[in-house]
Amino acid sequence: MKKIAILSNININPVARLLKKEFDVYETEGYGNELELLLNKGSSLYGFHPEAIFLIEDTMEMIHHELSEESAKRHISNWFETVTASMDPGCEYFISDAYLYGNEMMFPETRKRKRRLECLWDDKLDALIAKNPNVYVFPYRVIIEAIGEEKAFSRKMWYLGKVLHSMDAHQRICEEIVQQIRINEYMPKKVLVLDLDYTLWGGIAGETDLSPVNLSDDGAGLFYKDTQRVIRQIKDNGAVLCIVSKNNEADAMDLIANHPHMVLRPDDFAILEINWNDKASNIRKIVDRLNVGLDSFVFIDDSEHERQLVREMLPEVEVPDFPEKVDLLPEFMVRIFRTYFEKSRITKEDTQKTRQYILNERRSRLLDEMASFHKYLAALNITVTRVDAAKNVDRVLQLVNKTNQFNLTTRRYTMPEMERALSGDKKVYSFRVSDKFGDSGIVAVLIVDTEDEVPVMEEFTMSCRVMGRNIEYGLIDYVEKDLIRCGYDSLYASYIPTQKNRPVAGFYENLGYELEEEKDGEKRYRLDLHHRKERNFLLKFIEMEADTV
Amino acid sequence: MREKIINLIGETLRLNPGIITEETMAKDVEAWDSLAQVLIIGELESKLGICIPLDEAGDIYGVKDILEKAGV
Repeated sequence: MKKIAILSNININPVARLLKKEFDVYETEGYGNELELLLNKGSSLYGFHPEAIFLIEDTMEMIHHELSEESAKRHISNWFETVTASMDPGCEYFISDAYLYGNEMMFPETRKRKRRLECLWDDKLDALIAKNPNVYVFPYRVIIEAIGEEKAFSRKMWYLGKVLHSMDAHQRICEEIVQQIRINEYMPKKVLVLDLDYTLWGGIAGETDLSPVNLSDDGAGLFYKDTQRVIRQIKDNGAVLCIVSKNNEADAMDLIANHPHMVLRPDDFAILEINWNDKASNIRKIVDRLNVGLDSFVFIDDSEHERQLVREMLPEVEVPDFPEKVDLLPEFMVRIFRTYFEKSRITKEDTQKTRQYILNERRSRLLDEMASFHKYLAALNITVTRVDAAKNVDRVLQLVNKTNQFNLTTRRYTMPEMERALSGDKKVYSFRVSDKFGDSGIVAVLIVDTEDEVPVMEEFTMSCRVMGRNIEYGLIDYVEKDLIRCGYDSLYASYIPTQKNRPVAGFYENLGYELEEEKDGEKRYRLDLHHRKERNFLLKFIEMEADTV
Repeated sequence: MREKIINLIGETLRLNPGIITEETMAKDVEAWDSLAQVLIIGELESKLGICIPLDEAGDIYGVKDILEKAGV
């Protein structure tokens, strides 16, 4: 069981009690002493060795009921300074966002100030998160807003025992803790495949004259419009959208491009398969074109028949039941997001995923036009920029921990392991790739352990988005040359097979690495750095990005 | 109402139905500690509208006291 601690400046112990079945929960000594517990490395908190610490803070207690901006700022800064000073990089921290509640907040003057005072806290929290990859927001405010102050807080319990929240709120806080731990550990899905008729709009496209599709600003049409608004957010939070639908393509495309109430437009979808083929075959086609595993797909369709077919033909695809009533559709989509796509942290690469796949489509069209692969690579004008891994830890961790296909060892790293690697005991290489179509973001990480006489390539992973352009040959060439410059003569590397990484099984052989040992499928290679085969690639390298975000 | 109150106490203590009866005393139930007592009083007010004044909260030693204060 995961070991967690829930600390607060108010009595939040009922939450700890409710979570005892799911987690090994730290037994707090009272409440309001969270800073002392965090600062004192000899405290019972550290004796417990928590893997995750939840800090759920009441904003009003935090600022000691002093509602001037100046005082509030002082209290908040003090709190953050103390927490920052006490943080352990091996532990994850979930810190609540602000909600200012209290009797004095019922007055017009204080009401006006509420948001501003809350922002003082939220801004500090954002800054802390930007600097520390092991810190996350605990979405506390939205819990209170969802159930409302009257239901969320209990005056009686507050005066009796400094218990601020009602049991309903405790229950919600527990559910959110479970969700935050879950999304921090699971493998999120990548592709959301959507049907059109009765999913993105009511009615059937192409029968406009008989029954115009239902998509508008009121009534049932608004349910569909709101559903699309939710889907757009799912996309902006890192999912790739595709359409698989049985319609006349021209009718459906006309509607997507031109209907005044469409929220999603053709450019929001990476691939649109609008035809009369069976949906399982269409999904397989998308798998090939996106180069993403079937187990990263979620398929949404209102037809039980289609869902059943996909479940039977493609059991790896997640096929949730569809709500029976259209008015449940927007909430249903929110639930789809929280169940399959939500991530603890979003990188810049996540927000542009669909766009990346659209650019890839354009690249493959260029490949079709060019007579040879070589000409295609030349026409792409690929630029590879080395970026500072330490400044992009979020993305580096995401790549090494979530990439399955182009991953030679599938070695995963915790935050502290990565910090140690970055702080000097290993060489961490990370690269951004761009070409004439656009920037693909940071897409590759190589880690070389140089502790022993012969360095060891312990990690080489690259996003499948940039596979098939010989970029990997350029990257390994870069690293090999760097090691030569550092005075090394040879390099160890290994391939550890998994279910997913077979496409790179022969990678090192092809590059002239010599197989030294093979055990349980794991292959260990050695390369003489002074006798390397020519590496075949067409890239322009830029040494180090001046300023990376 | 008596039944509702007893059920609510059981739920707040996260015990199976039937364990809490009219005769139950707080000291005999492990889960019924001072924090649980706070939760019970809070829940009685928010779920059933039964208001036990703050200064009387200390006089509660079991289900009977609660039923008496609720006036049922």
